[in-house]
Amino acid sequence: MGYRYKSAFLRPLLLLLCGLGLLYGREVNIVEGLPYVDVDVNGENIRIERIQDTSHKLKNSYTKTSRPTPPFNIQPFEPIKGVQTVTELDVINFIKEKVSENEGMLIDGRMPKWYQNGTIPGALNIPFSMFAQHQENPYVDQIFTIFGAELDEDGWHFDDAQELLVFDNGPWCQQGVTLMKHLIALGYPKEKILYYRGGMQFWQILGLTTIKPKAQGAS
Amino acid sequence: MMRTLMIWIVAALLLAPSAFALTTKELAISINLAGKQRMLTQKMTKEALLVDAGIDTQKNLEKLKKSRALFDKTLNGLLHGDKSLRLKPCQDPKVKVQLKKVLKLWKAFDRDIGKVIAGKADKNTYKRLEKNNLTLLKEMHKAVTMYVSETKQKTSRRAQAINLSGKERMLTQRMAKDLLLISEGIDTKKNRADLKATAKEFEAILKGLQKGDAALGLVGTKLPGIKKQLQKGDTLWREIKPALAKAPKNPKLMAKTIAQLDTLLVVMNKAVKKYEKSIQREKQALQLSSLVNSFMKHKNSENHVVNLSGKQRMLTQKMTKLALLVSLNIDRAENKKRLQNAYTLYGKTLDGFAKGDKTLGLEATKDPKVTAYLGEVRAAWKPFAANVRKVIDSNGKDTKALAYVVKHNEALLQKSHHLVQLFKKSGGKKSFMEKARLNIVDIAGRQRMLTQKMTKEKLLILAKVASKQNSQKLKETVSQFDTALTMLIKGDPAHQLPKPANAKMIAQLKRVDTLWQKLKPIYLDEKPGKKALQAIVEGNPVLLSEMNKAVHISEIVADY
Amino acid sequence: MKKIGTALIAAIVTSGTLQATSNNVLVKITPDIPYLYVNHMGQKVKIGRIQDTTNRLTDDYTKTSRACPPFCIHPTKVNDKIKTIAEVEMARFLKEKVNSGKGVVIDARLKSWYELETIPSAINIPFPVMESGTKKTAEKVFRLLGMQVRKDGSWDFSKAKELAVFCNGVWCDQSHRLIDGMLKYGYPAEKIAYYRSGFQGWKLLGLTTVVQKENVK
Repeated sequence: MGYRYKSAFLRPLLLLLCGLGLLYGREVNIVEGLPYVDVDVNGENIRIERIQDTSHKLKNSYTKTSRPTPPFNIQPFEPIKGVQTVTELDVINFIKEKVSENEGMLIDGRMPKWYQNGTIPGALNIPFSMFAQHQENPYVDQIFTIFGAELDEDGWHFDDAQELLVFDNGPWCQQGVTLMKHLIALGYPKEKILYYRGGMQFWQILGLTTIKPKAQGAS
Repeated sequence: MMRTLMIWIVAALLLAPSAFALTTKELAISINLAGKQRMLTQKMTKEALLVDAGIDTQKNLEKLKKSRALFDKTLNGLLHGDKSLRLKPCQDPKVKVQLKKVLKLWKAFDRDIGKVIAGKADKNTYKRLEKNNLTLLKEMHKAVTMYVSETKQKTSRRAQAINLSGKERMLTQRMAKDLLLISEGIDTKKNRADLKATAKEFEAILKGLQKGDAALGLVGTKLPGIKKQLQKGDTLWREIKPALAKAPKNPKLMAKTIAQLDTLLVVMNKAVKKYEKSIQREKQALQLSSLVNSFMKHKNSENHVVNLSGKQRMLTQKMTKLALLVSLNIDRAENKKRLQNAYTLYGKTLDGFAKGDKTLGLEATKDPKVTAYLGEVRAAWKPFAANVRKVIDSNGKDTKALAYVVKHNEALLQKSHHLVQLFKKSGGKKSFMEKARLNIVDIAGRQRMLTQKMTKEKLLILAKVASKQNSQKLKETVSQFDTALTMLIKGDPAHQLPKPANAKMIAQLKRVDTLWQKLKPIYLDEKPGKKALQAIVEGNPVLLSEMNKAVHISEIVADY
Repeated sequence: MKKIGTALIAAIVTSGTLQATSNNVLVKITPDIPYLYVNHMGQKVKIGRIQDTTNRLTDDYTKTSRACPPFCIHPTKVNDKIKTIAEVEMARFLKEKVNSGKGVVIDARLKSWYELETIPSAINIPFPVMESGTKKTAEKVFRLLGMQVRKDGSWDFSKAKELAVFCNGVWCDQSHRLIDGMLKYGYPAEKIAYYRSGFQGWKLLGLTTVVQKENVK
């Protein structure tokens, strides 16, 4: 069932924008003809765009080059066979098409402090270690139900389960891969999992919008 | 006995969450479909009138057949459940009663629709349809409000948006129906008034959905998808509205307007769907975040337990050190107080591991290995505590008690250390970083203990108690502290200690190191003078406190 | 206390120092490749990662907002047939294919960029060479890459080398333009890999680069 995130999706969008005369004189677009994408994040309109200052440099800890290995081993391009690796344009399309239609979930697999300090708009936080001790883990059932999986006498069924796009800090971070491995060990179908290997590091090095989610628990 | 039982039963009934409550997803589906029923009552009437007027008869007959079948299927689905519609059978008694009422009205209405489809309708058939469609609508609407009131306060605004955007669907068909009745000359005055009122309501709700309306309980939407959809509806409405008055007299305009109202129906239906999806996502986010919160609480308590159990190690040495200071009459009054505090804290913490202790932030342990071992620790603690008590009460003059403390403190230290390792292992499999965190807390925590141990040993040497032995021990202790501090500062892969990159952590370890470099030579000095001794007595609590700060930082920073 | 103390000391003694013996490299490329050696312009070069864990990238490769167009974000793949790779694959490619002569890393940027700083062992085929090149140019380039011309004049790619193509990063289109040019003249797609993160990704992981000419940036 693999999904193809080709540039094919760009054409209809481009035509739409041209037709509506929305070709802004913006300098830094996401791709040609696509200055920004508006998405619904928890009932709020968030605009995903790029930082417009062409002299802007990333200066935070995502510019660190040498984290010790282990544990910060560089991930292969496709760390889990059968789980497709995707990149920024795919993530943006996923948020716009799948997340907004309740057919997909963007998952930030890092610990809550990191998530709250800044994440990709539309991402939900599921710390990777929540799936760690499969057998006695009280959270798996509830999370799988939220994902849309169904439980009966024969176990979990994933026909109606959502597609998950998982990311973490970046190519040197293990948390996303750990999360995905746990999910697969618990039966989640590989075809329904996607991996944004670039993570927060690459999202930010391209100047894309990050948000600080509202304090959890309050609505 | 009977009375208590009755009280329990009544209480259970009153307090139990509604066994009839649907899940949020099921509720959203029910509200949508029940709302759609309202629309269908008007649509069917409109389609029947179109057939009667001979407008596109074949097409409208087909449409009427479909609307009738859908209304019937949905009504039965709401009552008895329907897998294909994803409806669960209705279990709420109140809603059941209402739906059954609708079913009764529907049976009569359906008979008349059947007559229209069979081509056997007469003037009375249409009169009945005209009369009964509003009653059917009203009772269906009551059922919808019952579903809506089921939703909790927090989402009532959204549920209201779904309800009212759903109502818009019905209103489009009602207006079409009214137009047809007017053009056929049926009850024109009444129907013109109804058309005007319906149009007004449609517009008010549409504006409310777009910009908000307190009286309607609506908050204007900011969501891009829904905004766009409502804008579509608005554009279409602007064309329809002015045509309403003229349409009944102009067959061409009439056909156009009715077609446009049908399109408007589709547009509003899409809007309802988008509202539903938005609520769904918000619910998911809330559910997930509460799960994550409870998970993090549990995680933090694991780190905390390792920290506190590590502190126990330090306390065994601290108590011994303080007992010696008291007996050597160095700052006796203060050190007696401190010894009292340390002794109380050790016992309280030990109890806290077993039974839980809110003030210490401890939950009772569930690990059977830990529970069993706590028994052993307690067995060693009891006599130790009794002797510490004696030292305090005798102002350090009870030499027997002091000797016990000096002799047995290291055994207690060993047991306390083993307890730390048990806590580290409990709680199941851990990731590399989690293990690393616990290692940091363990080893940095151990440093706290070593600061007290070396002072204790120094004091024993000065008190000429087993000087040779204690000299050797002191050298070892100092070397251990030194090595572990270097490991913490530089990282040590072999011990799964990552090198700290966090600025706060690096600065704190540097502070500890600076203090340590001043104190180390004094500890190692075989013949320290009084001044040097004073420096140790004053300096080691500071070293302890700075080391404790380092442990604390390692617990709370996100990026070590 | 003795138990803990001796155990700790013993552990430290046996673990050795923290210096760079092959097993104790602090920042490795992959778990089994802490570093590797390649040949760059006749010289042996060690490719490893910067070992200073506090080191940060500060040059222009940390710029976030190059004008788009023309420096837009590119999709994951060049096309359906060409695989996208990253650093781990590059390391294995260098160790197994480049060092044995079966593979070549290609820097698709302009010569001035290549000369300033590039990935060790990379050869430079500036993208215009293939993009606007003739069949003749293609033949020259392909021969260099191991293509053979049969007696009937047709091109035999069976011994042609595997290529890993890179340029500046995910916002650079020069790899695409080079690759398109190569495919146009028939270089087999299954022998081409696209290192999407490019030089930016390489530097963000502190991997070794060769600086050839001092240049004012």
